[in-house]
Amino acid sequence: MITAPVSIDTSPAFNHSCIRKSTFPVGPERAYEALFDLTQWERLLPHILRIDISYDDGQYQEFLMTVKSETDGAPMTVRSVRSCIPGVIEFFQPEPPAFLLHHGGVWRFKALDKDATEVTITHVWNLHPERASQIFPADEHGSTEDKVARTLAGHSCITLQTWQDILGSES
Amino acid sequence: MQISEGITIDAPIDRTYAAFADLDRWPEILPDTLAVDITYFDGYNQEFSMTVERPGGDETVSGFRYCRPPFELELFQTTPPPVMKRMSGLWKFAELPAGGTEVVATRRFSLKTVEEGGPAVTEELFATTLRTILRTNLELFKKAVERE
Repeated sequence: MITAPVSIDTSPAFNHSCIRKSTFPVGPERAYEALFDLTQWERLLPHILRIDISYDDGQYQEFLMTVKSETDGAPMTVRSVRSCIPGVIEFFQPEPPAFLLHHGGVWRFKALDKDATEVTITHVWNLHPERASQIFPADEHGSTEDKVARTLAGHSCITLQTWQDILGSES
Repeated sequence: MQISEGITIDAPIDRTYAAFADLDRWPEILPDTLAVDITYFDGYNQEFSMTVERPGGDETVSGFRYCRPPFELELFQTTPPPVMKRMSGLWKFAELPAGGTEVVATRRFSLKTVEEGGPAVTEELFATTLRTILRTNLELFKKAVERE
């Protein structure tokens, strides 16, 4: 029997998910702050061209993030909405990539010691079946579902590695 | 400033939650709600705008809700009412041992200054008005859910 509210990663609203973990070489406050403080992302993250914050009250945020293309094409702008409380950042994209109907996730921060934090990122999503099968056609390398999952898991790993490097250079 | 109001509704928690969660039903339940537009909903995250009738004229607010059936609805407004800087809130639903559902609605808000277009009253006084609206709305939901 369920007796407590779900979070985005336990919600039955999403059919797919992937989880990746890393250890950041800083305490949990700094790890959370780095992910929370959008005003520093343009300076810290080389693939980000621009962050336009339309709303930030210290807990809830809405912003546009323009990133370099992975294929040297036109820059891509995504709209994100986040709910941030120390230790947990939930996010979703009201206008997800074409191959997804819905896309969101959650960052969780767990103190290991004063200079080490286990950071977990979970992505949750629902596929746009037609578009996903066009962009990620099933073949001998895997099903459409598998390819999308590998793509999002790959993004998670790159993001975790990037933040690990940034925070490692601070310590 | 934070305010809370509670009410007991003589109906199961699922049915009570569903009434608050379904924004399309709000205009039929709350007479001052003129229109609702849901621009995104994935079953958990929701983006909406809502136009309500107020003494000074119609007001349109917009924002997001997190839907956690049947226990919780969380809300924040990126476009709050014109006199406010911020508005967020929560509805919590709890099954009562004797039957029925307790609903507690909480709102956190801050007002604009008079120079910014805010009201010429203190937040404490404004909270009294807001508490009355919150209480009235809870009673209207109670009537709607109990007559289903």
